[in-house]
Amino acid sequence: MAQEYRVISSDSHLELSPDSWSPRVPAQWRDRAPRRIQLPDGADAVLIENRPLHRVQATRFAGMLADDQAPTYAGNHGWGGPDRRVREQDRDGIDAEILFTHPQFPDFWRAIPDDDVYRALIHAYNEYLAEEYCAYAPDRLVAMGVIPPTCLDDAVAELEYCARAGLKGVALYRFPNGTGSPLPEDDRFWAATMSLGMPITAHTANGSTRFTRQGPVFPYPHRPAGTRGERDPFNTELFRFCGDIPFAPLQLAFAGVFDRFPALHLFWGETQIGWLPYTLWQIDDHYERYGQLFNDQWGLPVLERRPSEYLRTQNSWGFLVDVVGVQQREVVGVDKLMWGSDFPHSATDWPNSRRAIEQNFAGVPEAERDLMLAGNAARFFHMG
Amino acid sequence: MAREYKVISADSHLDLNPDVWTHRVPARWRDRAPKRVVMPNGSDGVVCDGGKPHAISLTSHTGGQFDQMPFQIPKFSETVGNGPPQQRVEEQDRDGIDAEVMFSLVESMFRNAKEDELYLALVRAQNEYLAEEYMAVAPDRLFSLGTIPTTGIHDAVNELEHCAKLGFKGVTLTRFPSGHGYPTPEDDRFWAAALDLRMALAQHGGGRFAGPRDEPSFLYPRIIESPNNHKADAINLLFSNSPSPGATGGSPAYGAMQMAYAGVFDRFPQLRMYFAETWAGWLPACLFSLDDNHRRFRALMQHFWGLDDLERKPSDYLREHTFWGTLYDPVGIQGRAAIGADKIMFATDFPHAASDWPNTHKAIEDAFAGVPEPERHQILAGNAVRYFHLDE
Repeated sequence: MAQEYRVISSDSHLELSPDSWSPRVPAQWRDRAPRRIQLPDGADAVLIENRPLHRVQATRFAGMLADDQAPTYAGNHGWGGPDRRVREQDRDGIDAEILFTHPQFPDFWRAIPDDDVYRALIHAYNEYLAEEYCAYAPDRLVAMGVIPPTCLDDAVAELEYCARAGLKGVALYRFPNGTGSPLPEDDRFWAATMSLGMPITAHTANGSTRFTRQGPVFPYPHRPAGTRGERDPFNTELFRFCGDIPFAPLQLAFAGVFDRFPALHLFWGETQIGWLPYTLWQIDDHYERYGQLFNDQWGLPVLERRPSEYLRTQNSWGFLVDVVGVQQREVVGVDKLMWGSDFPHSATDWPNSRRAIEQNFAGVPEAERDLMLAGNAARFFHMG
Repeated sequence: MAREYKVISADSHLDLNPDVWTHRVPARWRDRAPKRVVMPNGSDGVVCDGGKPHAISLTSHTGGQFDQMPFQIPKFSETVGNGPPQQRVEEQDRDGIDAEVMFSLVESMFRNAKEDELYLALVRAQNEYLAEEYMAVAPDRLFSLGTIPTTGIHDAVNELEHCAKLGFKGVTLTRFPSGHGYPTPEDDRFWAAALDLRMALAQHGGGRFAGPRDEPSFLYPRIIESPNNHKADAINLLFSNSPSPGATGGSPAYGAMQMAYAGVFDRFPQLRMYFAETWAGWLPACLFSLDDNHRRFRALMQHFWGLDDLERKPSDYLREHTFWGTLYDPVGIQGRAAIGADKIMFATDFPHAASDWPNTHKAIEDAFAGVPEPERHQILAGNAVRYFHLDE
């Protein structure tokens, strides 16, 4: 019988020791995989070529400050194996978690410049997720496969692998072409996600869905004479007064992706939602004011619909504690919002998520609350 | 009898052709003062003290004529808003605006001045021109703000006092009074003088005080370099998972929180700060997440940075001590209760591109639909009259 879900964290984090998955890296490259080492003070750290040591972070929860401990994978809550993770869910009263690999990890592994090795690492990691970690409790541990941010062929191949391996979704770290700019060739990837029925997600980094601060952000046909790269509709104009949280979905909208794939729907983890009413309105207003200028100067395409309509209808958003956002849920619709615990990162209320949920959803009718707490995630990730 | 104000723009701009005021620069500095130059594409630019010419921009000087914008070459003489004061009053009439609080682009125009003495002379000359020649034409409608120099507390207090003598209702700060991007104890002299002189304080920079590069953002009592502390800045923890509007990055409430943590609002309970052109629609979510993050992170802030906890919640300081300027912002107006209708000031941004000139009234009708008259009046005029003492 399928599990009945009451609370799913749509945004939790994997903090896996490389010891767990690096044995799956093919032998020819295994010595280049990240390695766990122990520092003199007893803390764990991860070593990879070309990068400073990555010290395991102390995990902090509300009211608890762990600054005098030597943080280790074995000691940190949420940093162990799948068996421990399920017990941690139980302690918090959570039925299942959507597990993200934070963008800092693919960035850290990218210390390896060789694409073949880099790709092999990511594939080994995904294999471990599918065959060992999630396999331990497939109804409760729902990890997103990592799409390699290298090139389109790699992205499509890994997407197909993740689908075959039974992962319930994947996370993007760049556009499928491997850069921070959406390109027409990406359509092959979007088409594949549709035919495979694979949910597509991405997790914010530094509070924005923007994939990277490097490189072009849009394939502008031209730009105003005499201007340099930094000032353009995306980098400065559209988000000037509202922040760039919906950066990537708006790139998709202007690239025509949502028009060409009307059934495409993405989930953006840890965006929070209290900004939605104002930001959606701001972007529409700015687009109405400046759209003609952007079109004239940069060749930014003219949208078929208002920007907010793309953001509203073909995207879902993840939030933690966000009372203001919950109250204003009708702006995008209660079916587009998913609660998450952020465990084991510092914004989590673990092990008291249930108490935080009571405050977060005070006064919300039960049917709507159920959708945000579990129903939307179960539907989106085809759980059960 | 005092003028009756129905609509005041609490944030308009005055980006003057420097040729109109540089006759006030002392003779020994005059050839190094800003000058209008013509750029290769035919638009006007400004050059100061031999620095790089700074082109005036399309979106700052055309008065919002968007359908024509892509085809215009901006010049001081042809754009609206930056002509003589009589012209400005007529432009207010055409837009149905009773008065404007105006900011000048001083830092970007003067930043090339290579000596402090020259820079101070330029600030002084422009302030005097604005007070004695520009505002004097319509003293109940043209409220330019005086500019406070960024060269140190002594110069800041000096110019503040001079601005009060000149009859300015308020002044604008680019940096903290000390000239830094973070609050310092010496700023207290300035805050005290501002209260004493009844000079209203304004900041127009997305809520962030500028500062020299590579400066810290706050004078923390200590910074524990623990390998377990991977966060760079304590006050920024309050903005974790928080919407961060502002092209320059960072929340518009950052400057106000710097002031709160420096104890400025506790030591000067009467002090208020107006942050212009921040908009207001982000405030409800920000006020909530500030308090939520404060609860989560205050122990950490105290531990690693030695930061004394606030006496009140972050949102309490913002609600009591800060004012926010917004343009056409229906979402912000609807959400006014979060900060209080007495803390939001409407503005046109004229003659910058975000302005709805000459159709501001149409925008107002739309943005204020359903808002009760007393609150509508507060946001459209009452708050600015009270804050800037415009009826005195």
